[in-house]
Amino acid sequence: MRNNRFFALMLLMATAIAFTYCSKDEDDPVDEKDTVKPQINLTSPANETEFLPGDAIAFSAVLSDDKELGSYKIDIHPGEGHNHKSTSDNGAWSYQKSWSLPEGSTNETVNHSEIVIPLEVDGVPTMPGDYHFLVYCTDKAGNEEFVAHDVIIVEPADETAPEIALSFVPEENQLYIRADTIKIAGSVSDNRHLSELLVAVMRSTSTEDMVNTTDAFVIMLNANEQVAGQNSFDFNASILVGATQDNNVPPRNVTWARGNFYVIVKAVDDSGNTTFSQRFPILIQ
Amino acid sequence: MQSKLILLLFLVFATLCGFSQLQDDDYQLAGFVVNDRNEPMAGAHIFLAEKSKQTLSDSSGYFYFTGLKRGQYSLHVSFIGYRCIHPYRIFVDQKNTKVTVIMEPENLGLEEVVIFSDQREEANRTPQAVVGAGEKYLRENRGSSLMTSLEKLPGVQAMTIGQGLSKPMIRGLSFNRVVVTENNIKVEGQQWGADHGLEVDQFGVEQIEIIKGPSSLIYGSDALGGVVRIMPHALASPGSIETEVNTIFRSVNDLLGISVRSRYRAERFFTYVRFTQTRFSDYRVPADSFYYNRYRFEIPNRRLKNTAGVEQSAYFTAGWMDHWGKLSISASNVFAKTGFFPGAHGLPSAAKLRDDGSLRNIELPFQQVNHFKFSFNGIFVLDESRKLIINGGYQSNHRQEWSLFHSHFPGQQAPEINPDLELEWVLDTWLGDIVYRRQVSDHRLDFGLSTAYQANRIDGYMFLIPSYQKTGVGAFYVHDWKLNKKWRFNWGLRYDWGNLKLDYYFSPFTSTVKSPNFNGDFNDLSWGAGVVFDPDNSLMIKLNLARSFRMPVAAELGSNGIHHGSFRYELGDTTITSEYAYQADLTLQWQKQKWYFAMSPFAAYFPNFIYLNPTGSYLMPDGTEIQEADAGQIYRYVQSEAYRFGAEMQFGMQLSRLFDWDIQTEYVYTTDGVYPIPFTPPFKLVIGINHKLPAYWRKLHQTQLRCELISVAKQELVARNELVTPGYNLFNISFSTKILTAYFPLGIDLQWQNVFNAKYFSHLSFYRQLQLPEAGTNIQLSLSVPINANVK
Repeated sequence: MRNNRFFALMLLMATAIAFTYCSKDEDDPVDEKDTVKPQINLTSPANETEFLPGDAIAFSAVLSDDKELGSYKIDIHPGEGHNHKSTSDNGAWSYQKSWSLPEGSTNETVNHSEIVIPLEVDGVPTMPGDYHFLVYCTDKAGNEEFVAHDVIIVEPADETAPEIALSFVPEENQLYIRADTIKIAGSVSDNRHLSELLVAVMRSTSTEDMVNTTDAFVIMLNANEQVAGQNSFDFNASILVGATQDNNVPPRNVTWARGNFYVIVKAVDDSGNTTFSQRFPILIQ
Repeated sequence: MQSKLILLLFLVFATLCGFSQLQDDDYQLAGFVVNDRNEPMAGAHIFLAEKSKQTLSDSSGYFYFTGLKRGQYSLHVSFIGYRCIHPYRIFVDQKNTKVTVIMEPENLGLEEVVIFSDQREEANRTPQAVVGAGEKYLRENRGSSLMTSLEKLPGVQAMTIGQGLSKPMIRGLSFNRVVVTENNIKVEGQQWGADHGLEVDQFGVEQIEIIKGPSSLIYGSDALGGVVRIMPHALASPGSIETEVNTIFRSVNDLLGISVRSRYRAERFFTYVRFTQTRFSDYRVPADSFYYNRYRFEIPNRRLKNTAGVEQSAYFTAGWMDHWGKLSISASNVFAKTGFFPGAHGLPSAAKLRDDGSLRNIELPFQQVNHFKFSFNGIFVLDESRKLIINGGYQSNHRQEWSLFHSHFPGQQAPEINPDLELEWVLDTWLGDIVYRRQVSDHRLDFGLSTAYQANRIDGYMFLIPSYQKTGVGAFYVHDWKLNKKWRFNWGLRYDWGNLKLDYYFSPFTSTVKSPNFNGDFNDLSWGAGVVFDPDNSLMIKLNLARSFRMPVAAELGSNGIHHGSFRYELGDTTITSEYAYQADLTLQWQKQKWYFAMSPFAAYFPNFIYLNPTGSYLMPDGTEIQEADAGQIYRYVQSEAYRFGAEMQFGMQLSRLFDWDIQTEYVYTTDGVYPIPFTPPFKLVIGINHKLPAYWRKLHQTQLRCELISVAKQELVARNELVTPGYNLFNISFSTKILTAYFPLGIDLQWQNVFNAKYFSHLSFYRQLQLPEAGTNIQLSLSVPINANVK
């Protein structure tokens, strides 16, 4: 009895082992197994290359695989440090394109010169900053590799000065006496960002380079803090003739005098471009 | 004078006699310790608290204490594998006070991984391969979540997502190929996602049974790999309130947790309630940096940023049992919020990985899930041969993935409400089944009907899977026939009808239809047949053949987008049909007095296995470019043949009364004809030595020390674009004991995991693709305090 059981057990175990290990050979793979990824040697653009909007990015890489290459793709999109809360009105640039590789190829050098960084995206200047330049490559079997380089889009130099539009100005050679109010109003705007706004009464002999908080006769408005970083700003500047202090930040003591003066508006943007309004001559008695 | 003296002496003498009568300490307490079947229990430990005396019962279960005074005493009786009796109150008022202590088994536990336990009738009845674990095993092997606590069981694996909730895997099959049931109700969450864990509080699991193998016959769709059955909670002793407080601390992620359970039982009414809360911080890894795509990234302070989390749950059950049967109603809520390592959504970058100054904060990106469940279970005894079993429930799985708004499309604006809510799914499921069970001499017949309705609603700024509605009805018949003492046969047949409706979804950003209208019916047949050969108490051989199925899920039919959970662009296919599997299972169990051996090989064939195939192309099937940034090649769901086989083996041997050792191995081989299937678990070997500390240590009881080596082989069975994972060895030490203080026994479970702080990668981890190492060395301390009171 015991022997029978022993044999039965051994037979069972042998079957179990056979079960587990012999069945493996039943399956003859039809295709050859390929789990080796293709290789990407991204020669251009090099990591952290800088570009200006409007430049073409020369893309070249050497792609290779042990069996057969499949397709490749580039994917350019904003990288880190950017808040993409809304990507339609901040000029973030995104570019995807894929190409397939010739049948049977195991080594290909690819060159593309058609990738151009646009000057603007959806009507907004292309957002500068770090972008990811990703290159993906697959082989015929579906193994995929990718490489990422950073490219930096730098802001082109800003040569556009701010614009001043005036809605209320003193009349030509307007006369002001003590207790009158000199007034001028309007708005300033810039293509990037403003950094300074000054409205001043200047002596008739003063030149534009004297329009500052030291050399001006009377500062009607110093809005530097309010306009900093802004795209546009509405202002309303006024001063009482005979006031002991002007509207500078901090206010300066003023000694009024009789004579010929002019009112002028000065706006500066964050690249240093400066715009002056025309001179508005006035008389003070 | 003399007479007075004599009288005085007499009185004094009498008084002294009287006193000594009261102070008489030649009372004896003796008795027998037996189990619930009146069999004697030798070697049970009996502790007499008031005298701090202890003894062991002899081979006939007999024990005694002498030199006692008249009065009230409480005994503490314990025996491994049986519920500790504490206290057993006895009033010693006779010189020879007799007592019989009845011990009940501890919830059909699988202590010391011994397979046999006479109580597990159901598990032994089935011809399928089953492995189980009880409270003791779970306590001694507790990990960071339920599945990591069970992953050393042969054939069971855990797919981890950091140190929070994890996913179940049986013999390499997971996702929608494994069914988890709690109180006989399927747990329905978004199982298809690699980063979606099982929403179950592990502290609430007292007993678990894992069926390894296709089980659609009884469990319907999805039970291809097996079933993880979380058994109902044990009842309290009649007339008592049993409370237990458990606390846990894990050093690897500063985890602090507390779980309080209270259960009460009157004659016919019982109730159960549990609250658990755990909080943990970013976990420690034995590495300063990791490599991703040839770039090296720092791991500041050797802690993986934003892997902190919090988990909270509440469970409640109320029920009645009487001659007519048993009915219980349960409600539970499990909440978990866990951070994602920042590189897991999009690409890792130095900026994302900079230390944010806090180890416990959960910042973007993170996942949050709330799983609410309401269910009822009833067993109605119609007469001695007929029973009606009814189970039903409603559950709602509300899952969100939050990630700082990032668009994959040009022109997409952040939504005004919840701009950082990337994905949201609300999955509501109604389930119900009824089984009519009839016993006719040696035959047990089950006639069952099961129904299910499920609705999924989506939200969030990103699209991955569509909203859908799923309906299913199944009818089954299972026959169990005990031919004689040695042979048992079991077979059955089931037919399922299912319908899946996917909702149309048009994306304004890509101006494409992301998900078309889809309405499909699925009809499937399942069957099973097996035999159990059980000639005596030492040998058992089981053979089972089964065919099981699963309906495709919405992700397989209607995916169309970037899936961060797998780092790819995934595309579904509405022509996909139900997947089914044929499997043969052999189980061999051999137990002798001093050793045991078990082996369970299996072989499975899938004619139409569904998986994601890397197409090698960057173009959609219609030739258009995909619009999303950050997407690699397109992966398409396809069906093809697949083969799987493997085996588990266990061996254990007793070296002496206090030492024993055990060894477990598991192996799985998978192929689709050319490539292995992704996430195939590597070959694993677990060797352990157990030492039971002798009972002469007065204050410590049931003390056990275990040293364990886990050796995992290099996994080279990888699919395309899956990384080969190097092999590794982990060394664990665990110590458990019960300290009998004056008022309560304090249970202590101390574990030192990964003693040598080995740096290793887990092939089944969600973070494997990012080449992030697993947790470093961990010291874990669990305390448990039972507080019981009689209510009469």
